[in-house]
Amino acid sequence: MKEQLPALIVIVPLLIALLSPLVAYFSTRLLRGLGLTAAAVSFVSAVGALGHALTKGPWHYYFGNWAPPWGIEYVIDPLSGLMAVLVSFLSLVVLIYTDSFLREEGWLKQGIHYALYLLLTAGLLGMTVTGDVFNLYVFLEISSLSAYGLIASGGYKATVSAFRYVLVGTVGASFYLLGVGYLYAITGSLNMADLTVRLQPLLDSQAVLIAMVLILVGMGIKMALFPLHGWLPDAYTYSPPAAIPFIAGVMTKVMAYVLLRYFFFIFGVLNGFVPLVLEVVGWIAALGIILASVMAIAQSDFRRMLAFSSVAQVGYIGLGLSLGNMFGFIGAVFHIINHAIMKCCLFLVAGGVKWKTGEHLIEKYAEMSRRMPLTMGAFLLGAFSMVGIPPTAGFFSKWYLILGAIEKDLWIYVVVIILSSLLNAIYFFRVIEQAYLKKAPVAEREKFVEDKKPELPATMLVPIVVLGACILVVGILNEPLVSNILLMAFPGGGL
Amino acid sequence: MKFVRAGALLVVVVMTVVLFIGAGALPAIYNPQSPASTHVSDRYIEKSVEETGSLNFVTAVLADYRGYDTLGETTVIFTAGLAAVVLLRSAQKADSRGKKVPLAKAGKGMSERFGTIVLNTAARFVIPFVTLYGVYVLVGGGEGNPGGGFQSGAVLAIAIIISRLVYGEGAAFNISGDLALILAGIGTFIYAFVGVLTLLWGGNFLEYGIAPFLMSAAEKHSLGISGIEIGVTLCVMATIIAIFDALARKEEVS
Repeated sequence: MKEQLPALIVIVPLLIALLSPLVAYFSTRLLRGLGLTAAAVSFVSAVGALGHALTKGPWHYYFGNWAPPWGIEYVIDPLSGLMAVLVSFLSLVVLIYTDSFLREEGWLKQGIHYALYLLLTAGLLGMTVTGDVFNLYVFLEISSLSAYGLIASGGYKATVSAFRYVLVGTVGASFYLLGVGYLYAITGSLNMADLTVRLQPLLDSQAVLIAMVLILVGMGIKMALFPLHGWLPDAYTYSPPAAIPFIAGVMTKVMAYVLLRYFFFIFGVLNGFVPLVLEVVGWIAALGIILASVMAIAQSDFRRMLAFSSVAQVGYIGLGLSLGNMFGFIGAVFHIINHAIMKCCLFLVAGGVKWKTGEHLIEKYAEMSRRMPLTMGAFLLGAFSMVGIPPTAGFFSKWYLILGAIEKDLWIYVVVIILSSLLNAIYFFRVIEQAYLKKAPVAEREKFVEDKKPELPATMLVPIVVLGACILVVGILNEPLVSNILLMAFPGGGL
Repeated sequence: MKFVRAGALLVVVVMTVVLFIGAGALPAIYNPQSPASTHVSDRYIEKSVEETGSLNFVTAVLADYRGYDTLGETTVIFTAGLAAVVLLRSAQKADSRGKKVPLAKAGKGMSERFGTIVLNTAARFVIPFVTLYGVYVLVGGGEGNPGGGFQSGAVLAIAIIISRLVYGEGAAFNISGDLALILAGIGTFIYAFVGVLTLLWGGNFLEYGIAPFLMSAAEKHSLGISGIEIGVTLCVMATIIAIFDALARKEEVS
């Protein structure tokens, strides 16, 4: 079965997702076991495929054994392999965490939750490893629809924010599809490698420019690139804690990966209109970083603050994309990895605090460091990484972004990155101050001093601690990560 | 509000102009020399009968050359069913201000029987023919003819919805919403399982030609296509019923 690894990454979670309602009807415990197994198999397959791509070069897998461009292929190169490892790892970690929130629910709700969650996993993984632009659209649909469903299952306000997300997200997907339609009309191909070749003589044409803008706007909506982020704050704030860490951590990042794939691999960053389009992206991203950071300072709900911080962080990835050079690319991909891990970790913390105390407001976090020392430790690491304090991972991606900006003599971007790091420090310090320095009111204090139970169940605590550790490990191992994987992922395969 | 609307109008006008200009840059639709007509489609048109055993080359592309996309599309339908059920059932709990408002007030009528003699008699005549036609669309013409799983599933779902509308929730010819969700998953699973079988036989995913049967390659492909069409039919039928049930039901999800 080893030669089938690229397919297994996506197929295994998909198969279990399809059977989830059936299995849930008979046994929800069995469903949980199957779900965890599927996520684990997917993760192991992704690691194996990445290893193959790094040692033996890109791995092409033909569905139905039809050679491209007639059939559909999966391509595992270092970039897509790395993304697949990231997505499947976070999927597994968050799936371990969800059990406490779901245990009380009926079989149908659990079945639907597991089905949607695994479909989201399969959809995002399919988007990362595919080598076909229309297949990417199909899996974009699967991941988007399942995300709408997961967010809506939060009930009350979540339903309304999910419905708004449905409307805006559908517009985004349509833009992407229209862009693919343009590319197909002028090249006759849907395969990414084939498109790259056939687009070469056409890159100065109007049709390519329009296709490029359509794909950029479509994916920009999906990744919440400023000013297309309107759906994100409500969707992240009201969705259920069992799903949001994965959605917030990975979903916008996979969309950013798609843009990297298009601009660095299919169009090529130096060709035709691409530098012009990227320059616009850069300015918008810089503006978004600052404005979203300021908005984050104004929030009193912890999750809403994280949501605005997400918009700002997506701006960093957009900035790296717009630089169009090697450091920019490394910075963007590195930031995708870092932000996925740390945002996932922070939302796990938010869910944990909610589970323990029922609170999301920052002002209620007083003395949380004594009530939940390990959880708050992970939060501290995540916050430091968001601000960019070495040796946490966040420092290194910002470092490469700054290097890329200096190489292009765009000092204004350096100022933006440093300024936004200061803004990050302000809004995270508010939470740190509450959790570590403020004293809780006496009445509440008596309650938690009496409380001898562990801070969280093990299934929730372990994922939080693991991701907190990951932030440190990725930061400390940044040099091997960059030189062994990210440099290989750059188009042309390293220096 | 006025300002926002004016902005929206501006965006629409700009987009329209851009798309009109863009359409001019594209090759004409019926141009036989355009890239879309010369690159991949030649093989689909000339070779599909011998390579896939399908007389209809739309079916050949949909179910064989790009069969993995169609698995994705079928999964999209299942996912849409799940998401619609979640949205509709939780929408009954609250409106945007958090007030409790039952969304499906009209649902009350749909879960009870209409019970007039005209409707009952008409339904008794119509339902068997609609069902038969649904099955015919799937198997009668075979995958060589237009039609297939998606259409067949929709027609079969209509038969059950008619029965449900006329005879009420207690109708004998009915599938409950929960069961429909399970069936939709199973339908898509059948599709994916064809792919898993080809994996187990040592081929790539959905490589129908690998089947260890004493048949020509074209016949094996036909068999594979028939297998996935059954899965598609079940998925589409069950998803439509599940969404209808979520729209029509009045009580809360357990």
